[in-house]
Amino acid sequence: MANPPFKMEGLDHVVIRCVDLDAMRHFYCDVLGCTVDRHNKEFDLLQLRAGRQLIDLVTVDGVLGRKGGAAPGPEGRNLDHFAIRIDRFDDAALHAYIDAHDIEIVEEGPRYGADGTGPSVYLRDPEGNIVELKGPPDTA
Amino acid sequence: MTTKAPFAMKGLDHVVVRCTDLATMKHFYCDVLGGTMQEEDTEIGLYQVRIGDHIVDLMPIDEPSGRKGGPAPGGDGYNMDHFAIQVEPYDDDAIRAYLSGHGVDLGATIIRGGAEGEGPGIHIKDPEGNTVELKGPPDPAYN
Repeated sequence: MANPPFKMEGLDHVVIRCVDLDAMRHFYCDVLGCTVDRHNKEFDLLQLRAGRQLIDLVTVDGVLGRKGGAAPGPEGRNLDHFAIRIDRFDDAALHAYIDAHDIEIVEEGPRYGADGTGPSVYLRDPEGNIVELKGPPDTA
Repeated sequence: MTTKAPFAMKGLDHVVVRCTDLATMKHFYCDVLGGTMQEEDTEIGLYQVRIGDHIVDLMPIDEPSGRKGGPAPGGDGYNMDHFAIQVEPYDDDAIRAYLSGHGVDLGATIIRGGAEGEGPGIHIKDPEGNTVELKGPPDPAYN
């Protein structure tokens, strides 16, 4: 079989379909610390910078979002979760911060990620998507 | 509330795609796109495909982890519109010829902003209908 005429370098962006853009923007920007990279109004696409990659939000009633049909329900989703690599994992500070924002921790513990096994917390965004915050790999 | 987050984001780490037919999905992400099966955790039902710096995880809906998310994705009401993978080099004709040869459903080539700037990308469908964008490097003509 011929090899592909390209090599995959990594993820570039993930695009989440949502209903309430303000609530989602608050979660990803004000709580997690994303910044608005650009707001493409032609496509109703809000591109948020998450370190070296992007998390894009499209509203289900927008130009791009409408093509995907109904709003996501609690089941039958195509994305189980996605993970964001964070630079440091201070368990106590992280819990205090998450609690202060009244955000549910779905699960936590050491998990395998792209650069090894390290601590993770799994949060639910305002529309039920699971976002894993993944710390640096354990050196132990 | 303006307390600063006790961390900074470095970037994405992985995306976990729920699937029905693991063998077909493995074939697509590994044999066609060139990913490497890094670890198969049959106990929890998670199959980790390395794509450069990051990972695409396949999670069959009839294995322990996948069952928690209920029925199979149905093409409507997805929570993820698509995800994008950076590829290099980006030769649109060669990519189209190669993927067509594998029977992959090809969409339009579009110029849109990615994490590193405006550049070409092609939208394709994986075997279960998820849209995957193969995104080329930023093109100086658009930046």
